[in-house]
Amino acid sequence: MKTSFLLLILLGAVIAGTLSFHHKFRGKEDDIDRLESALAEAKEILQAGSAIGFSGTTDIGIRTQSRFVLAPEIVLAENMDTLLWIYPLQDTTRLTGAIIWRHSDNKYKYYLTAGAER
Amino acid sequence: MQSDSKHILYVGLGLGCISLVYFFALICRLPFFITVPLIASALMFLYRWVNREYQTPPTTGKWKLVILAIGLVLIGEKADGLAEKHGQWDAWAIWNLHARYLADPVHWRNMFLNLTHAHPDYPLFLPATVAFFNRLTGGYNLVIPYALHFLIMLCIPVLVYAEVAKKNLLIATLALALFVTNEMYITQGVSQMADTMLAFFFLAAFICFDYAREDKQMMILASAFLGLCMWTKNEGIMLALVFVLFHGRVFISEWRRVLYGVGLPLAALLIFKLCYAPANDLISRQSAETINNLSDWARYQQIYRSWMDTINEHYISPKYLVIVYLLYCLLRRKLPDKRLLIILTCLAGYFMVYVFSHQDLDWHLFTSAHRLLHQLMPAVVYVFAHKFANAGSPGSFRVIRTY
Repeated sequence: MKTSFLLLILLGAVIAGTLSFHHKFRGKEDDIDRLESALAEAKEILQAGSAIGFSGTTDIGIRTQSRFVLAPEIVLAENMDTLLWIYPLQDTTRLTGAIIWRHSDNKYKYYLTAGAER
Repeated sequence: MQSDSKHILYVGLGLGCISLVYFFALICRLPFFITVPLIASALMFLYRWVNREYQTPPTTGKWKLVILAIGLVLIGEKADGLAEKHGQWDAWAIWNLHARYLADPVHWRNMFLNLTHAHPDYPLFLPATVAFFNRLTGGYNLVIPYALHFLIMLCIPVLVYAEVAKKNLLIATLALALFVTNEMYITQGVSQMADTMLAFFFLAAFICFDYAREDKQMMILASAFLGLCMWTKNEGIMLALVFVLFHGRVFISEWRRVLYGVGLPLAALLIFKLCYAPANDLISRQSAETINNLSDWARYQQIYRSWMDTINEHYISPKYLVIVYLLYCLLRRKLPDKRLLIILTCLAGYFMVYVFSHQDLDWHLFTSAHRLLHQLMPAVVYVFAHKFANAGSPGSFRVIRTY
């Protein structure tokens, strides 16, 4: 057998580390997981391969996380007619235009609109 | 080279092979059921080729293994506490995002529509590898990128240890201790970003090149690892160019072997950059202001201060090693080791990238200076460990290193 003990130690350490990671985060929900649950319906409504814009009053973190969650079927690109809006729950902004989908969780309100303006 | 080291190098080479074949299969629209056997065959061929002159591992000392096992357990334990579910910001916002696109054979080109903050011009070694394993397991799986990074993070100290322990166990143990005690190394190692992969390939190029005089196969491997540096991160292009520049004579005289090694990753990179990727923002946004940056001494001071803060906080041991060694060279009126000069030139290159940067300098330094230093840290540890391990041999600290 060509492998040595040194490599077996390495392999053992990698397996142990990976199992530990899996065990540590199994069932633990973070911001990205929460966003994934929130946008799951929107992902179904939108056609695969479509591009949408992003708006709302939330920070760059949500925009970037939304892109990660919606990928790869949907692109969060600039200047698109269909927009994903995300507002903090207490925000009172009213959207005009055609709201395709709406959803809220304990932190944010989500809207999908076709060419909507505030 | 011993088979232990060859096997570890094969891990990096194998991952590189997976990413390259997967990328070519993707652009050729090959079905996945063809891609998988193609990659399996390539891996088998590569394994036989790397181990064609198989050397039976020497009887490994018990202490050598015990020390390594303790080191890896300590690194693993720290890594467990430092790991984040989706990795650090750039991991999910860039690397794992790209992997999600590349795992989709239909919509993967959508990746290039994300022009803001997603950096679709970044090379594809890491995303393509993660994408391949994701498709193999039937969907996006958090464990895959983590396992890959954890493996490479451990391969680096094991490779350095294996290379040095055969000459001097004490020095090898000290080198291992440098990795174990460096929290930044472990944090970056499990951050799921491509910097540790780049650090591994750069280190592997140094190690292979050290053997290139006695084993010509190593010239091919060194070139392949430099190619994989370029295929991993844009910074890797600069690292590879600096390496080649310092060994220009050898690389020209061995051009055929160099081509064998670098050909595939270079071809993939050129196809990616010329046919798919948008322009890199650091290059495309250069303007007349760049000239102003060049003569703005406050920028130099700011970069220097930030670097020194980062080095003093995370890389204090390598810093003193370099300073003491350079003083030694100065007193003895000798040129420093060529390998160290390569690393210092790369550092100078990174420094100038910040000088030219169009981005907010504070932000740019804060988010990346520690990662750039992390890319070079394993090579620094290897160079010094290798040098000290050879200290007993005649002239090890007297002869200017030449090929």
